[in-house]
Amino acid sequence: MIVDLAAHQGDVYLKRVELPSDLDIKESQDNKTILAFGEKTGHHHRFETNNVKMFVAKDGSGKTYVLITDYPAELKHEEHESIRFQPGAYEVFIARQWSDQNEPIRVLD
Amino acid sequence: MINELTKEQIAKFPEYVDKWTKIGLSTEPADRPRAEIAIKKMYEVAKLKEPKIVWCDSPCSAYFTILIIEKLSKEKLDSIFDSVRTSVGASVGDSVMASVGDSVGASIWATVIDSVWASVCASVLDYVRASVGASVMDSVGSSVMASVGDSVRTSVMDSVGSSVMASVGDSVRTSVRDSVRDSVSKIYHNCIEGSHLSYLSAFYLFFRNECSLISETEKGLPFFELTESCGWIFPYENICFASERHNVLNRDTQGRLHSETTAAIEYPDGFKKYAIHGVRIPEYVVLNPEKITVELIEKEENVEVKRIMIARYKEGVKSYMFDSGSVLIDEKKDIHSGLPIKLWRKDRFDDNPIVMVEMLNKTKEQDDQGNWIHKPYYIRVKPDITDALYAIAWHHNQTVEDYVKTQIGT
Repeated sequence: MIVDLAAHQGDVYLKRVELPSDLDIKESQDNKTILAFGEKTGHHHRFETNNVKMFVAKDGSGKTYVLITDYPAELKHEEHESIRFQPGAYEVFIARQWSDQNEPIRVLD
Repeated sequence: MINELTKEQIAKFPEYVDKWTKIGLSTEPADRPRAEIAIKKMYEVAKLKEPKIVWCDSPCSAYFTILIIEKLSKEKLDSIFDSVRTSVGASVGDSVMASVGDSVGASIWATVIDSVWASVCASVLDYVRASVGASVMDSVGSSVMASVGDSVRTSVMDSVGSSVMASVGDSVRTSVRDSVRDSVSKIYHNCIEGSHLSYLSAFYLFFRNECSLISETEKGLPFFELTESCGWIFPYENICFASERHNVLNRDTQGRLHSETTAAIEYPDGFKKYAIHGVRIPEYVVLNPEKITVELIEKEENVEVKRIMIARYKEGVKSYMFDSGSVLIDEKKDIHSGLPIKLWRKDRFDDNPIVMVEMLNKTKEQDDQGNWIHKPYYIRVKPDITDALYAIAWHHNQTVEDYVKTQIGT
């Protein structure tokens, strides 16, 4: 199945959206678009094709988006099965957990 | 232009993968004379003056040594380097690590490193590293690219370079890099990662040896020698710090750093890191699991580390749930996989309750006995949550209505 609406790979959740206008592009490195870094494993949730661009909202909210153009792109990670996404814009959500400070914080892995 | 490989050439792939993977994972001492010749030739290729070479017993002690020396005044450097080399020699890293580690607090270190490193970056490091590293390998890369068609290059990279990199790069090099960064505050600076770059040598030497790209790869010879003879190097103007290779390296069947009884990776100066199935964890979790407490587990914010701590706590998850006084308050099935999702709650008299959702990774992984299992994860969620499905949706930053529309979860 090629996802065109929503899917999650471990801690990373992608949901199809209309791409907002006020965005900064986030440069990819070595053709890799990394959505979440594995702090203790070195394994990252990433796209490894050049048809994926990542954006961050200019309003400081931290909202992050990926835009897949031309053809489906595969999200990869060592501990999870890969997921293919149809071209389109997706908002990226990083999973959260509750902290000792009684507030939500992003999940680290 | 080479646009096709012969069957004979393709049949050579495994030979390169095997040889250079072994080199990348080698725990043999560095071949110092050979490495020193390689380093000097790399400087020569970069049109830089021959450097003095200071050996350190790990990348970490090399970093510390660099930081200490950078604190000394410029006038003293020449004499210090001489004495370092002759009187302290190979043990410089040991002595630096031992004395500094005992006498300087972590916060002081962080401050010193921050301020010192900034000046290092601003002065010579970028220039020298770029000259030594890039002038050698960039020119080799360009020459090979000009001589080899895309499909052949991709084929060799996929079959040779990527195989070696998968074994060495991801599991070992990344871990050493992150471990060094853990140890010297947040600072990490690029260097030339010696034997951990063996995949590059495998890739280019295939073209040199099997496709007769001799002149195109000529400049890379000292680099290939370097990757075969020592660990990481830190090239500066007039001086190059070189590190020994790891002398202990334990991995699981999937090639990830792993040992349940000893350090997973260790260097001759005692710099070591513990890891279980690729997850770097504190020493006591491996050597003294009896020190793991419910409180420590609940304070741990990294879910991978927490999962391992729970697994190593007494008899594992059951002990943890029992000892922490948790009660099961809801159980549902995952919308796609049908796997159970459990919601646990632990009431506390002086604080909000701890509510934790227990779920299974939908992708199976191999356990220690080689069985394919769904690994359990425990995520602390908002304390007022009472529904397991709602807990999962909250964890993913979604409403339940949105979450049930999820097409795939892995």
